[in-house]
Amino acid sequence: MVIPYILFTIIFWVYPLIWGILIAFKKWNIISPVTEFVGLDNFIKILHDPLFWISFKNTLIFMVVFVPLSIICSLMVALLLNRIKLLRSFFSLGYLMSYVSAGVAYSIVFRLLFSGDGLINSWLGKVGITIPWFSSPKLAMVSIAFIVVWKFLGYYSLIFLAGLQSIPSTIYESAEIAGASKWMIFRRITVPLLNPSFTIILIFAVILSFNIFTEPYMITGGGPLDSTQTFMMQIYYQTFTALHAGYGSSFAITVAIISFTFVFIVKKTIEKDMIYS
Amino acid sequence: MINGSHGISMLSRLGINFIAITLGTTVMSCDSRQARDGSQNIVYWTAPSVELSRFEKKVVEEWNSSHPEARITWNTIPAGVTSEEVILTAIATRTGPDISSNIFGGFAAQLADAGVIVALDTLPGFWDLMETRNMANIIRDNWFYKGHVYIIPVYVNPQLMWYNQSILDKHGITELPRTYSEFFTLLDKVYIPQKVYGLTVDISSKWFRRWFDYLTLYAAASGGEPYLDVNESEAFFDNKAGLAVTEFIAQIFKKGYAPRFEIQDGFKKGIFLASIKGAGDIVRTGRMYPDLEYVIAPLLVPDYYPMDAPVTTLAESKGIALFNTSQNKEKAWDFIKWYFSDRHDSLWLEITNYLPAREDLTTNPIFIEYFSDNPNMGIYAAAFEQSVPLVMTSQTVEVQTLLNRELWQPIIFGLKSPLKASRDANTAIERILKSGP
Repeated sequence: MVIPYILFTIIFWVYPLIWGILIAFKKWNIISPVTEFVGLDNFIKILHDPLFWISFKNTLIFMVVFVPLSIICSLMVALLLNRIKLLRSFFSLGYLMSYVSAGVAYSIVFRLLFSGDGLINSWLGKVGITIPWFSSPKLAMVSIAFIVVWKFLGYYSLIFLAGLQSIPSTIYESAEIAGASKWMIFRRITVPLLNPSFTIILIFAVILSFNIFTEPYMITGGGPLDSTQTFMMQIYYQTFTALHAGYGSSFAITVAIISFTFVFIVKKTIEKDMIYS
Repeated sequence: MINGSHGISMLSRLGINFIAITLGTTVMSCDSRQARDGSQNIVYWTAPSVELSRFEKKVVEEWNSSHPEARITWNTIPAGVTSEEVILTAIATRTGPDISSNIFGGFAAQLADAGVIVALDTLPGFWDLMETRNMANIIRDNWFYKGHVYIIPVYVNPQLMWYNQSILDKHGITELPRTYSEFFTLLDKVYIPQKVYGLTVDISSKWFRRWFDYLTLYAAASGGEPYLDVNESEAFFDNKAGLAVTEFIAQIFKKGYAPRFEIQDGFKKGIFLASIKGAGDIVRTGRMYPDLEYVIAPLLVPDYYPMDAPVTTLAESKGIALFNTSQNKEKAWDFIKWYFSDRHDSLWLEITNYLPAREDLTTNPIFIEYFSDNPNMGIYAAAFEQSVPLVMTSQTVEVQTLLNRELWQPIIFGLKSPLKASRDANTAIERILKSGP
């Protein structure tokens, strides 16, 4: 019974992983059968590649905006959804629409909406303001982060909502009887008991920050001044545009190691065992 | 009744059978190019463009009705940001076509280096075809790569300046500028901050966009000199012409004559006085902005450019290539030879409004009626005689990515002086040329 799953894992996970690791030590242009073993050259080249460090910096900028903003917004939405009884599923599904939307399609829509003469700037222009959302090197990555927050708002809210609904109501009732204020209940009961939700969302958000691709690729193409270049865009560029598949693979492995390190740190720092007592 | 262990073993067998059937079907489907009736099927991909598709559909139908033994399966290149990335992915996954058009010289060079496309000049009748289509000199001068011809250019798209007629009329301007200084003098009159800009300048960092601005202006400023010497791994972006173009673009932004943000269809909406555009824009503009009036003129040149010298431009061009993976090369080559004919070129021009890549555009009687009906296209046909192609290198993408990174974007945002940007671009590009693909 387990054979199909083992086969699936071997074909679609183990084989590509081993193959990816092997080509990371080679020079290969993806379309030629000829490969050349280069040892650790590709990994050494990464450390001297300015685009690697630019992508790293951009990922950190993205993370600094995206992680807190997505957590705060989705927690607020979850708290609101938790209070309403009528049409809760309807609103939950509504927020989830952005998550199931095609990345390419909404990226084009956002690019048109927020362009120099787009709808948003046309409105702002009436009060004499023009915001270079995607054309300012300082603002472009922040704007991309806003779009990704919009996309994941519904999904993260659902995780928080599930967490909120798993907290026993008796704990809240006891706190109210003891005279705790609403803020104190939120700070001392809701937030600590939502720790599993916070942990999982933080891990998802950190992984996502390293994997961001569609939005910057479609909207800014990595510009202006490489301010929206990301690791995934570099891997794609090196592999499929510049035809340096070996280098692209070593790039991917390096990014995976960094990403896992971040996830490990987040997990160790945030995660706590939950005991309702 | 099935007991537990029997159930598991049966499910395992079912799973294995399912995978075997799936793999078997996949393997068998790989050989679907040999049809059941013994005829050969040739897969042909073309650009995903409405106009081009109308032409290709007609031509392929004509071929298929007269060549049942070698039917063409025609598709537009599947959706993607660039055709090149889609074709590469298809080659890597062994799902590519036998023939593909919409291939530019640099990409053909990449494919040739990887040994995946056929050297067409080694096939029988190649030079006869070049002579018949009046493109032998075009091929000899511009399309050789490492001693062979890997691509036959289908069309050429020279770039010229467009000026908004109503803005010119509003300011009583009858004489168009020739040099950068004359252009700036004109802009001093027409420029209105935040309302009327001077020149559309693409601020994006997409590598291929530099064909239509920097490299086009470089072709004009240098009198058609190449911007790279691939054999010597040399770049010329910091020479007199390169510096003049970089200085020109820097001044455009410094004076506010172009915004540092994107404006959709800015020229067509009358927000810009001038724009650099190709012949392919004429029909699109006519369809979307039928009331727009414009004048087409040669490209701007630096002040040092001789008064009596003709102004050169850059002609982007795409062509057709035959893949080595094709099982039906002979028939595919027959199709390519049949594809290039006077009748098809005439039909091509009529339907697509792109200029066929041939030397007799302005002299061959088959095109005269079309150009008299479409005088703006006639201007482009004449300009083709003064055009140069892109330098053929397999490192085109890397070269133009570095041009963006070291020169174009820093100049737009005023982060480097024109001299430093030009020198940085030159150094970085020469380094990449020396390191090889």
